[in-house]
Amino acid sequence: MIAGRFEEQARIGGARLALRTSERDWSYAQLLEHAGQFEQQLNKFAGQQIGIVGQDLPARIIGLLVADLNGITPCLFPAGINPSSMNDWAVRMGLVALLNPSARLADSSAVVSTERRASGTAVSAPSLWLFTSGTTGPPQPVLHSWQALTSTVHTSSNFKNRRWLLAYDSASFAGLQVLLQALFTGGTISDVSQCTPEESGQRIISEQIEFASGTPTFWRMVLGAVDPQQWQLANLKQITLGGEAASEGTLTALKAAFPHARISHIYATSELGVCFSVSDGHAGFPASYLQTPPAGCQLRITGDGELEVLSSHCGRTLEDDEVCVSGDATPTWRATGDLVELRDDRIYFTGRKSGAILVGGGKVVPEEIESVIREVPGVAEVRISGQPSSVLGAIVKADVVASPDTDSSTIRTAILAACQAQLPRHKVPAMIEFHNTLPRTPSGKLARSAEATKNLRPKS
Amino acid sequence: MNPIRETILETMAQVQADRGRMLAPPGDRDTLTGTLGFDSLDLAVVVVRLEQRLGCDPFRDGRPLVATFGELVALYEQAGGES
Repeated sequence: MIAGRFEEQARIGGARLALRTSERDWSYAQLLEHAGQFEQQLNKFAGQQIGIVGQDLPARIIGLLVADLNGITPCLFPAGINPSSMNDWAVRMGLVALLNPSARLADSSAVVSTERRASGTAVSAPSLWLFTSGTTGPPQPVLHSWQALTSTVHTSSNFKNRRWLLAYDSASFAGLQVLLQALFTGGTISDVSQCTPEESGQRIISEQIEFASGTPTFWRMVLGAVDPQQWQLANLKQITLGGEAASEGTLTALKAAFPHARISHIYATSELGVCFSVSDGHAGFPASYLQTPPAGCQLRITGDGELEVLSSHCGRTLEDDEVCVSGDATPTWRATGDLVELRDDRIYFTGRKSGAILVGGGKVVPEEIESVIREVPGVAEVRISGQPSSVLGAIVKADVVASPDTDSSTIRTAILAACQAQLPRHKVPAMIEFHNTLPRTPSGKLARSAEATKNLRPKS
Repeated sequence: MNPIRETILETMAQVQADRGRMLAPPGDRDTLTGTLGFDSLDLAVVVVRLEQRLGCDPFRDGRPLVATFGELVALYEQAGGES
């Protein structure tokens, strides 16, 4: 799939640039040549599955090319995954080897065989493993067919040889969408996924980016970090928001900064694929989508307000029996976990059904943080909730009951230290309040409703 | 120093202290995400804590963040004056 596109670009485009990273530029031909070097070592794995270890963009693209050239199903690991859980997954998923495209060929760490026990999921069509963003606990691998992944790639002449901004992790579903769209149409990608908002804004201008996709938080940060006058020098034609619900204020601010750009927000998840996009400049989506579904997807709302989709693009998890991996099997209705409400012929997203907290698009499950804090000496009770935030949607708040005769400021420091050592940053409580008691339901469980949170007052 | 500026400084210093960092006294032209090293998560926490202390959130309507420390102070002074 992807190697063929690279060969075409390398042939017709000469030294056309595929990637611009902070370190160096890569042409289509250079990436392809680099991938070709691994053929001897990798062709014995044809028909099997391997993991791509490199976390930077060139390594991942080279890894995808190597897999494609040798008939292998690749697995991209999410940014920041540690080596031991990568090995655990490799064993569980039946990956035969781990490839590190950044390592020199002669280096023994370039290709490492795994101690797999499972035989690997049977794959009927050329496919790719990606990890979910972890809606219900830790991230899970999901198998997507190349055909489904690329079904939303636009190929009209409008999209040929454009300059693209990559603001997402390239192993996320959203990041991969940008990557495939750009690379399938001879585009040049500027990778700003590790940049500050200021640097991202400056690169949008200096590299004359035409198509840019990011979370609403990314856009608010970039808009804030650059002098508004400077945007006149930008050349953005299309701005896409994804990963979290876009608010009316963010859409309005983007329109003011980039009056000539088309602005749309997209509804997609790593499990369900791309469902639909909205380009009318307003938050939420038109209620008419329920009767007249957008291409490729039908929508309905359950009695308790959860959005469900019927999509032919959805992926397959390890445990999944409902095979719709190639995109041609019969699609079934799937729950999204997103709660919605109808107001004035418009449907708005209001939160997650599971009680998960969305911090800037990253999902946080309260129980995971509670189990870390409960281990801290002096903590009698703890409850995690989302504190509404205008910047990130929500931030993590801990309500704590301390044991008798303890010092709350010492416990606060210990809680922060424990969380910082064991959890990613966005899960570390940003607010910690101490209370005499926490509200409980009649059955004695910790009350998690909004009502219970509202009536809670900190101990003075 | 005026009380709003002082509250903002204290809050920003606390947020950095929670992460084991020191905040050097910022000048008006220091950039929040550049020279001062705050990211979106730090700023989200600053804004929520300031809402608790000052009773206003100038970013409530989804407007973009501002670039410099001076702009942040000016925005809160303006919001405080209106409420």
